Amino acid sequence: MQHNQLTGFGEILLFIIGAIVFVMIALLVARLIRPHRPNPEKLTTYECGEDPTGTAWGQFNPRFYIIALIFILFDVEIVFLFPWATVFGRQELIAATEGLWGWFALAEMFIFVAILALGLAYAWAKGFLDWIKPHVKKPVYRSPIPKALYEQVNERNGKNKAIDV
Amino acid sequence: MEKSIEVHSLGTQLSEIVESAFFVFPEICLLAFLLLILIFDLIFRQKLLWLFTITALLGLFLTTGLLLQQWSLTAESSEGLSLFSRMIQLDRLAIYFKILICVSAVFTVLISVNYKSRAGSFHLRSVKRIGEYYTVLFGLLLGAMLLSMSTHLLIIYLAIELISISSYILTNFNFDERSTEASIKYILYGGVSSGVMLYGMSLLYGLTGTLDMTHPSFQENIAAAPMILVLFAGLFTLGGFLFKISSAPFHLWAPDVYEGAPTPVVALFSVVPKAAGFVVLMRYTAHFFSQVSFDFPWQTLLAVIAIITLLLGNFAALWQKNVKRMMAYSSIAHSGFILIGVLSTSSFGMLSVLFYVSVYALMNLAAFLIIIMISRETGSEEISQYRGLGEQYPLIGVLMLIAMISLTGLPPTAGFTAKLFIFSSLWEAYQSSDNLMLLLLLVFGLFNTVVSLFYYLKIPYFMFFKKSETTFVADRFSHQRTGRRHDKFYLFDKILAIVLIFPLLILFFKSNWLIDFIHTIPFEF
Amino acid sequence: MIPIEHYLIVSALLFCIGLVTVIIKKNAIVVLMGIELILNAANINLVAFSQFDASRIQGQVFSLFVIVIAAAEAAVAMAIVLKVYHFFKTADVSEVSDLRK
Repeated sequence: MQHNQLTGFGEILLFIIGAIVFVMIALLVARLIRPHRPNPEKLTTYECGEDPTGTAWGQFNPRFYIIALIFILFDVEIVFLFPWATVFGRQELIAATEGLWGWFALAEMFIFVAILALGLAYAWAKGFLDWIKPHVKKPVYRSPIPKALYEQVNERNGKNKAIDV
Repeated sequence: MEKSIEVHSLGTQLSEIVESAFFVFPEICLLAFLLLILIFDLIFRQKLLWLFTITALLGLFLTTGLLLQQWSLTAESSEGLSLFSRMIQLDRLAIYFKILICVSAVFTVLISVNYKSRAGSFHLRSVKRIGEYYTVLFGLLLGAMLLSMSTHLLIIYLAIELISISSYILTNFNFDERSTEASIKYILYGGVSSGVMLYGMSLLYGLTGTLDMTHPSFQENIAAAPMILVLFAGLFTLGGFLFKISSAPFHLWAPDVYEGAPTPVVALFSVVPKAAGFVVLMRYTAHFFSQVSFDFPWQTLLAVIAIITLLLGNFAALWQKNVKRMMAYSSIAHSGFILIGVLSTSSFGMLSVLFYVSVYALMNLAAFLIIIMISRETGSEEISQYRGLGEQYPLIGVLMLIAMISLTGLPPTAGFTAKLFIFSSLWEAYQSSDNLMLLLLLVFGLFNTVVSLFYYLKIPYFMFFKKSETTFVADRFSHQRTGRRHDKFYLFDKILAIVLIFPLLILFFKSNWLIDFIHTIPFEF
Repeated sequence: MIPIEHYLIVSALLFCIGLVTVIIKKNAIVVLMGIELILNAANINLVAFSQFDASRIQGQVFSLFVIVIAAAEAAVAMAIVLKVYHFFKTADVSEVSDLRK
């Protein structure tokens, strides 16, 4: 009995081995049939089509953090939703409690999701979801003094003290 | 066959949950107002700022009203109700603490109305984050109210984390360097201690097979389990509670947080989480320590913790130059005193704990209110800046004097009565158990009361007997056109301070008013 | 079935690693990682013990709540670390010491 049947962990091990073998086969076949003509452009790190600049350890814009935080809000929600979903629609439970179970579970989850949604709405309304693009503004300065005057001053003071307009 | 039984009990469970929901109306009310304030914040943005304060106060009054109704409802049933399939225990002890929490919160809101941080970044009259402030504050209150009812380890953990996470955010509400530093220290200490507590809880679960502390199998299995494991599990869990009441050796966060956080928030921290922490500690003592059948001297252990807490708090407070930091150490020392009442485990001990916590809430809120008023005047929280303030503003000086006398525990204030109760309950416990450690604790407690005299009375001493540096005052007022010196204390704050101080005197002469109220609470000992 | 001792050993190891990380590391983020390890150690315990609690699965439900709370706490902690970095230009806790002066 023990030796001719797989335990649950044995199945997982089979899956792991199978996954590794499949990936290996795919890589190997690709290597055999593809042409091999490298150039510097091909050998660069793939970064979603962008030119990679700097190291991967560079600092990220802190704005990513706010998005990540709001993501966590809904990521973790799954932890509660998933067990709920497995028992929510069970016929025998609903029948045994004369329908109370279904309404109860539905109301519970609606309250939970509504509070989470309020949190998201809050973040949205407060503008934490807006991705403010860096607004490069060229300083525009209209001087009442004609440019020629500056040049005169620059010439008088020597070049190293030049006033930049 | 088994399934049908399970399904059958499900129906009764559901109807029990629905019935239980009627008994947590105060919490539901608080939660509803939390969401309401959040929605107001979305609708009104930065307009109508007074509306938020009014709504918050309304919510707190309504909750308090519902709690008072619960109080009268539970008159007949002596041992309280077990709700949500024994998840929470609604008894008079819980309701008393919940009322205390709500009243303290009302005063906290009133205190914070006129508060202005040093950089002016936290000022409820102009702040754009007022909605967030009240939302997080209500979150903290909700956690504290849950904690005072909980006998189930899961609910205890959830409530403690709700309090903690709200506290971390509130600590940062000055949005300056100091409050940020305070909150990072708070969250790191808090995270570790709650993690350790959780590990202890998981071991308790393994040892007993249940998370419900009131369950008979919890107590049976605790008694049957190997001693060393029970000790580990019990002490780890205890650590989390000690953190919440800022008792040694988990007090390290308190001084930095008290100094860096906004002062109204500090006033709240020193009362609400502490009160809730003591309830859960009392329940834990009743259900865990008292059940440990083998010969473990847990009373001695708590006595040692209390002695260390008293010594650390009082002696560190002596050297402080910042008032808020001094108050932090003072609150640590007070935790030590209340711990004495908890370890007495008699109904008189419980009574003294409840009396002490109530008086402590009043005098701490009063002291912090006056600190806020003075720091608005002098722009500083250093004790040295209190010179001569008593002569300039006699009313404030006298109020501060009474608050400090009460904190020391001298007559004619309620602080004296509270300490008297605590020490007599300890004496009672010593006589019934003959544990020498308790006698030692009594000696240390009395000695520490004398020590605390020095640092508490330092403040009135500076206010009345040190001459003020006139140049400083002249400098501050020179920009005012009138040139006439008039105090800048708001009338509102003055009235509030009198309202807080007055009961301290009343309760000394008429302490049985509160005692009679507390006496109607049935204790489990 | 895997005996309960194996779970307990793993969780005790995780707990110790987490505690040591918290004690010896100075970087706030690394300390937070240590706290997560402690919480996960407790989670392993809870899930492992819940097999003896046959009638109900309290331990597993507890561990779900722990996961959610850990996420919430980490979110708040990261916000505060970001603030600390903004003011002090470091995430090293030992260098953040303006108070107590």
